[in-house]
Amino acid sequence: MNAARRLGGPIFEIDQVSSSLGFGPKVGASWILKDVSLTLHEGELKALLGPNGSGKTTLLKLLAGLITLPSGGARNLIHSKGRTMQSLIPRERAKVVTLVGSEFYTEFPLTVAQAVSLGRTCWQGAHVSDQEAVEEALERCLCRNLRERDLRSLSGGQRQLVGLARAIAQSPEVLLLDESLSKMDLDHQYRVSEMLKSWAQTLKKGVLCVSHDLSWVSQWADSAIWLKAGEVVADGETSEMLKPEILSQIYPGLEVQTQKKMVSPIWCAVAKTGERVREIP
Amino acid sequence: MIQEDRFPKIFWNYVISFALLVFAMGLALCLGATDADWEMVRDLRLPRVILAAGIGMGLAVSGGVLQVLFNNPLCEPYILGISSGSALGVVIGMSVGIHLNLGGLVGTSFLGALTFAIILFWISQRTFHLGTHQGQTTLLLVGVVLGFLGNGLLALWIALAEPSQLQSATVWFFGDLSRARLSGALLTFVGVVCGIALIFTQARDLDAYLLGGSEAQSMGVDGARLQKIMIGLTSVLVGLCVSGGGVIGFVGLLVPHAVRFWVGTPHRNSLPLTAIWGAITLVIADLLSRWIARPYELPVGVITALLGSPVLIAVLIRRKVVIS
Repeated sequence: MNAARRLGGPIFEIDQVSSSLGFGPKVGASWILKDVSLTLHEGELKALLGPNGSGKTTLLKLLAGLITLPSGGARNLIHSKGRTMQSLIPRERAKVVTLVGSEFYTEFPLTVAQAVSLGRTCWQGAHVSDQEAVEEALERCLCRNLRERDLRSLSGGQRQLVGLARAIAQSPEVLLLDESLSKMDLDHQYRVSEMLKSWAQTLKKGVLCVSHDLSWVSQWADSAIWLKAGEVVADGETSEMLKPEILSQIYPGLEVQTQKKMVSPIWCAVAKTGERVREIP
Repeated sequence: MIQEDRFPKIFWNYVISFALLVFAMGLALCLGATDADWEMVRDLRLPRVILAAGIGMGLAVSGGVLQVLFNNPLCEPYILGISSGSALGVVIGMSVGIHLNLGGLVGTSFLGALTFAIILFWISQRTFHLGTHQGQTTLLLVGVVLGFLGNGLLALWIALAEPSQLQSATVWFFGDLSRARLSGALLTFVGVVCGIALIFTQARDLDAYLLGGSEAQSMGVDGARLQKIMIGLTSVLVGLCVSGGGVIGFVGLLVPHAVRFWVGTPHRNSLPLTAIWGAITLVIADLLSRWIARPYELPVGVITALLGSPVLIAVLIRRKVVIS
C-alpha cells in the first residue's frame, strides 16, 4: 500500500488499555475502554472514529496523561519509542504528546501571541528557540495576523486555530486532536489539514484525530480506527474503514451512502429503507 | 514564559507604582484625625500603615491567584467565604481557650482559611462535570453559603460572648486596622512578602493555568501539585491578613482586575504589580477610613466595599458580553 510505504516506524503504541473510570455518575461495572490497542506511525494522520460516548475522548485523555489508569491496571501500556509514558513526569510527557480540545478559552486578558507561547511551558530555558517556535506555529496555523488580538474577542473557529498553534509551538511528537477543526470554515479547515499532514510527514510526527466528518477523514486520514462501546471494532486503511459493511456494523440503524459525483467522495446518512419514522397522530 | 518586548514600558510601570506606594504611605503617616507628634506617628500610625500595606498585598495576590486557580474572574477570599472561615478559626480558637498570642492568632486563622479553601476546592472538583459556566456559578454560590455559615457562627459567638470581648467583635465583620502593633504588623508584612515570593516561583505554571486545568496539564503542568501549593499559600496569605486586620473584602477583586487590564495577565509582571497596587489600595482606603468622618473612624471594610462592589458589577457585565 502506498500509504504504508510513506510511514516511518511506530511512534506511539498502546497495548490493551482498559479503563472503567467514570466521570460524574458511576458507570458501574461497564468498561469505558476495553482492551484498546493501536499503533501510530511516524508521519501518520490517524482518525479515531466512533459513535458518541464510545470512549474516544477518554482514550485521548488517557494518552495525554490527563487521567490515569485505575491503580489495579497500572501496567506499562502506553509506549513511545521505548519510553513508558506513565513513568514520565508531566513536563517530559508534554514534550512527547499533547491534547488539543475543541474549546480554547480564557477568562482573562491574554493576547494570541501570549497564549501560543504558553505552549513552550515544558521547554524552559531556551528562549531564542522558544520565540522561533512561537512564530513558526503562528505562521503554520494562519494566525499571524491575530497575534495582538485578545483571545476572548475571537470567534470559535479562530480560537481553534490558536489552540492548534499552541500545540504546534509545543512541538510534541504526537498530537491528539479532539474535534479541534470542528468550527473552522471550509478554507481554514482545508489549509490547516494540509498543514497538519505536511507537519507530520516532514517532521516525522504522529497525529491522532477524533472526527465525525467522514468526508474529511476520507480526504486526509492515512488510516482510521473505529471504536464502539469502548472496544476497537476495526482498524486499518481509511478506504477500507469507510466501506459500507463496516459503517453498517457501527451504525446499524442507518444506511450510509457514498456519493462519488464530487471531486472527493461524500459520506452522508439516510434512514434505512423500510424503517420509517413513526408518524405523530 | 510569555515574551515581553516592551521592557522599558514595564520598567516605568514598576517605577510609577513604587513611587505611588511610597507617596501613599507617606501621606498616611502625615494625615490623621488630629495633628500628631512624632511619638504618635511612630507608635500608632507607622504600625498601621505597615499592616495596611501587608494586608493589601496579601489580599490582592490571593484574590488574583484564586481567580486563576478556579478559572473564575469573580473569585476573591471574601466572596468565597475563605476570610470568614479564617475569622471563624480565630473565634473557635478563642472559645476553646487557645492562648492567642501572635502565633496562636495566625495559626488558628490559617487553619480556618485552609479548611474553607479545601471545602471549596473539593466542591469545585465535584462540580467539574457540570461544565465551565455552571461549575463557576456553583462555586460562587457555595462560597456565598460558606460566607453565610461563617458569619452566622461568628454572630452566634458574639451573642454568647462576654461584654469584655465584644469590643473586638466588629473586626471580624468589617475589618479594623486600628489595633496594629509594630511587631504584629511587621510579622504580617514579612510573612505576606515571603508568601508572594513563593507564589511568584510558580508564575509560569500559573500562566499555563489561565487556559484551564486540562490545557495546563497537556502543556506539562502538574495540575494536582500546583493546586495544592496554591491552596496552601493562599490560605497562609489569608490567614496572615485576617489575623492582622480582620475580614476586609473586595481588595482581592478590585486590584488584580485593574492590573490585568493595565499590563496584561502574564504573572511575571502582573503578580508583583498586583502586590504593590494591593498595598497602595489598602493604605489609601485605611487613610480614607480615618479621614472622611474625623474625628470618628469608619471600618476600613466599608471603604473597600464601596470601592470594590462597582468593580464586581462591571466585571459581571463585561463578562456576559464577551461570552455571548
